[in-house]
Amino acid sequence: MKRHTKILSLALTLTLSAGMLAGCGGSPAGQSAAPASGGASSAVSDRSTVSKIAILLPGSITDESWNQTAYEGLMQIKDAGYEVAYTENVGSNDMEAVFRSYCEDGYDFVIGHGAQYGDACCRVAEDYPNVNFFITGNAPEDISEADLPANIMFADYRECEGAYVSGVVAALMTKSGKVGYVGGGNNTTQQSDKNAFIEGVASVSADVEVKTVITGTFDDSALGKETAIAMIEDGVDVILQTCDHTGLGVLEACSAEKVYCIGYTSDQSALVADGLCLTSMMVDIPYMISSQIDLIKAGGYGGQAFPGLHDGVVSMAAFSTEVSDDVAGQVNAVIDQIKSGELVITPNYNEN
Amino acid sequence: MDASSVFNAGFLAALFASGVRQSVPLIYGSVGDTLSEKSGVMGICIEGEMLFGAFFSYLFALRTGSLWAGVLMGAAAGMLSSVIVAVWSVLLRQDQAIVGIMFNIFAMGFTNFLNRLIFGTSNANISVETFSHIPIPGLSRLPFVGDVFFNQDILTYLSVLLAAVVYFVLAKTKLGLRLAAAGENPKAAQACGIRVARFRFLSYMFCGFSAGVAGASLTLSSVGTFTEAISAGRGFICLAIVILARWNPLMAVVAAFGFGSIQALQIRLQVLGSSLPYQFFVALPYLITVLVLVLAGRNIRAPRELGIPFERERR
Repeated sequence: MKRHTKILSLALTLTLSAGMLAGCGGSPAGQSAAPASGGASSAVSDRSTVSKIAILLPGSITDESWNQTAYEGLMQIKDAGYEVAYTENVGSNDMEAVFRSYCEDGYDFVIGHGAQYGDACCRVAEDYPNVNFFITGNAPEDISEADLPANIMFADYRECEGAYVSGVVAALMTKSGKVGYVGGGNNTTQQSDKNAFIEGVASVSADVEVKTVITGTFDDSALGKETAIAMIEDGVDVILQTCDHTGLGVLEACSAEKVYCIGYTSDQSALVADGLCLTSMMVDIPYMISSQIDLIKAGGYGGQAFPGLHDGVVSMAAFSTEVSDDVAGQVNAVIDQIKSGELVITPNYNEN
Repeated sequence: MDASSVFNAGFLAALFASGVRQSVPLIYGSVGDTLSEKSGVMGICIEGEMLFGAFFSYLFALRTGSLWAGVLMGAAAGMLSSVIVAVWSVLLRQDQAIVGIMFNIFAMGFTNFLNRLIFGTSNANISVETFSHIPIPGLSRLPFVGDVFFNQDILTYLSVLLAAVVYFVLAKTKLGLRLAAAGENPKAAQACGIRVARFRFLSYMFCGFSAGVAGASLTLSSVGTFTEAISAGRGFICLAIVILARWNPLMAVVAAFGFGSIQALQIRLQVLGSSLPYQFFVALPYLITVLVLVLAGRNIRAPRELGIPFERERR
């Protein structure tokens, strides 16, 4: 009897873990034709072709934000006839392993979605010289530019330009003289967003106070809501959030308490009632990802790029009805200044 | 910054009111877990059961238009999912910790899967109206405490009521004594004619029920929508609360309120502005939980056979 139950429970365990594994990936089995690792096959590697594309995501593809837009970009590539795969929730301990397994599976273009994948990618890239890599963030700061593997492209996109403009919007729209920023964590993008938002507010008025909270999580919408409520109780009346699921809670609180907010990554105005979502700082991640294919085909892929408002990778969503023409005009003037290069927003990665 | 001007009564009332709101899912989770741990089964799975509760409560509240239908279905989903665990760990006598971890991973993947299957990955986030606040006549007008404790939503009041009922059952009834016997000395309990496995199975189902309501409180009284991994580790905090409260449901209410209030405090400290790194504030509630466990946890005694599968034939 005892033995029987053990076998039964083992079977249950296996079934469930098989289910888990099945949920983990879109890569087809049986791809044993791995590229010659170490580049032994050809001295001059030809990297101007691409057929199979994979992306590593830090979160889930339903976050209505950072990860979901990357997924959409990947689907655009898929629609163009390429074979694609993705892995969600790739944390720091799995990064290198997931990179390597895609390389071994014959993927010739592998994307790490976020600056946090830079280090792991640099370690892997040298072993797979025939594979192109793309990191949607800045290059690791502790590696000198000359030492960066040539087959990685870093898109140090200027999300902070959007955060600066959001700061301008917030400072022009606040009545109480207090605006808020809710962030998720401590990667360089988040830090430069926060600092640029503060700069943007200061550029309008030195009297507007900026309250900032970093929640430490991108998943806890209930905590996001409580965070926004705490800010609103303190008198804050415009909030920018840059924290995915946690940010949805922030939007919910703003909707309930009738306070202005600014969306993140995609146009989030539909999620908030009464036009309270003034605008959204959007990063056209689908475009940023899908446009890489053409760059690869042009040859000589790799290096660092700094796309921003000027290149259409960063943009602001249409203003809500709450924003007067006067304010919209002032904000658009700032946007034009950044686009023309008259105003340069340098990312500031300081934590405090 | 002048401390007296910041920490005035209005600030503190808002802080503790937020503490109460944040403690509600923790109270449901830890009260359910207290009962099941008393009978000898650890509730490691409440994290996953909360996710089931959160998803199904939202789904049914949205589809039927009734928040109560949502709460009921959330509780039912939590309870049904706990049956899987109970079969595994009580009837098949597998290691409860391993079953728990497996189940939590499964619950996370499965609720994500259902969410995408039903709502897709579209940008249209649909939300339901959350439970409204019900001021208790008279009491809600008391200075300070009125706003904090007597102007909350119905799930908050019910959570305290549930804790009181479970306390009464455990401390004052024959049923509670039998339950404790199943957790303390199941062999002796069996000799007295108590069906240990049945007690453990049913008390674990209650834990699932309660965790399901905890999940419902996240979606239906806080956020108004389901987001993936919405439980965000609260199930594990419940386990710590049960130990802190020494398996006393009423103390669990106090401990959950303490945790929620520290969480509310750390947010407000960040809002006030500080030169300390934010990680300090984010870690604060957990740091204090660990500290309290270390300092006050010396003479804590868990139910003796907690986590040990009971085998009827074994001598």
